[in-house]
Amino acid sequence: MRHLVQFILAVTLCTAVTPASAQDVYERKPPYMSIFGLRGYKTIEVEPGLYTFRYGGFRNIFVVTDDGVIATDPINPTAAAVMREEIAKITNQPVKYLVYSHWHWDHVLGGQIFKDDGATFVSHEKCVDHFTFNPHADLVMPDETFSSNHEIKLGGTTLELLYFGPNHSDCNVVMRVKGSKVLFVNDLVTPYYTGFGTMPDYDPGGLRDTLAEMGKLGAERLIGGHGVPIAPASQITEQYAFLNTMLTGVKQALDARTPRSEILASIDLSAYEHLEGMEDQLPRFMERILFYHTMGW
Amino acid sequence: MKTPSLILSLSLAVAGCSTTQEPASSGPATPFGSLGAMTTNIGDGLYTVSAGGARTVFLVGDEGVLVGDPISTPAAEQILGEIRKVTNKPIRYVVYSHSHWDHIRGGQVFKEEGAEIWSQENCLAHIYRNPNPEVAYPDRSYTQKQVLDVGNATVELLYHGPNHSDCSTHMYFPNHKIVHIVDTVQPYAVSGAGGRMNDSYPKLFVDSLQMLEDEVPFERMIPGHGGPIAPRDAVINRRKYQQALLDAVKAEIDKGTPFGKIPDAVSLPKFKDLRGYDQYLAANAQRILIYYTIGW
Repeated sequence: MRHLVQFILAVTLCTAVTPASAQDVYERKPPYMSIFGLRGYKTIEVEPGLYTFRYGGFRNIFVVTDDGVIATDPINPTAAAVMREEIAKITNQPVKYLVYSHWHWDHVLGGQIFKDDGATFVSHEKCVDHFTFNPHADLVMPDETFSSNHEIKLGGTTLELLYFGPNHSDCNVVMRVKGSKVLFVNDLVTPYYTGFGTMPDYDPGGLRDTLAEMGKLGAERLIGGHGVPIAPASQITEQYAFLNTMLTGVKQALDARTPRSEILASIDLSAYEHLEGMEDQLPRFMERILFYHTMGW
Repeated sequence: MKTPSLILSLSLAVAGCSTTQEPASSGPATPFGSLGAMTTNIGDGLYTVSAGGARTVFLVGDEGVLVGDPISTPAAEQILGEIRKVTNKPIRYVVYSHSHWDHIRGGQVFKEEGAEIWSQENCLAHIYRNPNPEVAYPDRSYTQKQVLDVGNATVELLYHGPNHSDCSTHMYFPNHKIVHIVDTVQPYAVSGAGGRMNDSYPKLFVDSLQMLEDEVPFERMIPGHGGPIAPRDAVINRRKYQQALLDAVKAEIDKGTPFGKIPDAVSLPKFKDLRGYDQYLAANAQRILIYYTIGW
């Protein structure tokens, strides 16, 4: 009930935070929208207590409870400051937890203002190795880590952190408010996108396995770390099918001794022509899969 | 070469890790790269062999033989044949330069001769996570430094941190003042693998080569492709190129150049004579841009 009151107050007092409407659930990517070309910022309430905040081309979630807020990826110092204001428009509660979805700098910088508010920082333990190896002045180190699945309980709400092994990085987690059918899947699924062509610590086979497991979670909708606010869970299936087509297609081309310059053309990708990145990312994506099959990483 | 598919995968591996698709500089050239083994006698028991699109080394001591990468099963058989032209001593050790399959397949050939396989310990995770039937698991690993002795002939296995991979061994032969560096340095060439070495560590790369230069009095190097031998300056030049690339991309970011335009905006005229400069500079810069964006 208090969620509802907060929700009504938020909508009444502040038009910057909007409840999710049908048009926020994108069944396809609008042709005018470039996934990384978005400007400004926007907060949307996805369902009671669950919000998605976008700053430029980057997106996170936060969960508002009666006892405080669980925030995720602060993105960068500027974005974090805006997010803090956005949260303050919704609740007087402070950010009690800040959870990193994975370790890449384009999502995790700028947490200090939440640290100053007393937030506990949480990540998968493998992220810490990267943070240690690649220090960054704008990065707040996690206070708490975990090695497999993990739960954060606050104000009667439980945020589940689901770990599936190496995929986009080796410390990505899928987040889900317990009982919800919405997943936050930062960089594991970027809706209607091929995926970035140059991904250093990317494990293509691991990501395929993860997408298969994610497909079993019974989700209905998902929130990615870039692009449209909310997409149907069928994006998991589509991304699995696309990645699987690339992995098996490149392997078959190698086995058939197809010259490297002809491998891409040998794979039937007609079902994926609507994905952003088919022109600029696909050749590098293919190259990445080729190295996976020939060099073992 | 035993099967066509192996020939293809080798040629792809060459294309992947060296900066051009030219065949290795020694060994007969074919449309598929360098076939047949070509051995160079460096002297004092040290040899380097070009086979299967890559280059490895072997060291003959009083008590046995140490081999670097086996490269692939057919290449390993060729390398064993080259060793047997020189000595009948037992193969005591194989040392993997790192974990990439274009260098470390075929170890079984030497295991059957009684060799013990070594790698830097970080390679184990990669090799176990992505098993390949042609890649034999290492028997032993080391963390920072390991000296192996085959009888009045030693090699120092040195780990200088992440560079081309996170488990690359610099094999130093103190009697010869030669270091064998696989893939981290291709002499006087820009960064390989289509210019976007995905699991390389762009910034730590510089630290690693600096550590090698500071700590090891090597005078020459043997690379993992092409070759057979290059002066110490090739290492220094590669480190300087990497640093210049890091600096140039950072300067564009600081200037506010749009991300999509940065790879083509970078120009390093001091390094324009490096092999692959025209073809791969933008791809190299794009990889550095990713480093500054995500930290890897």
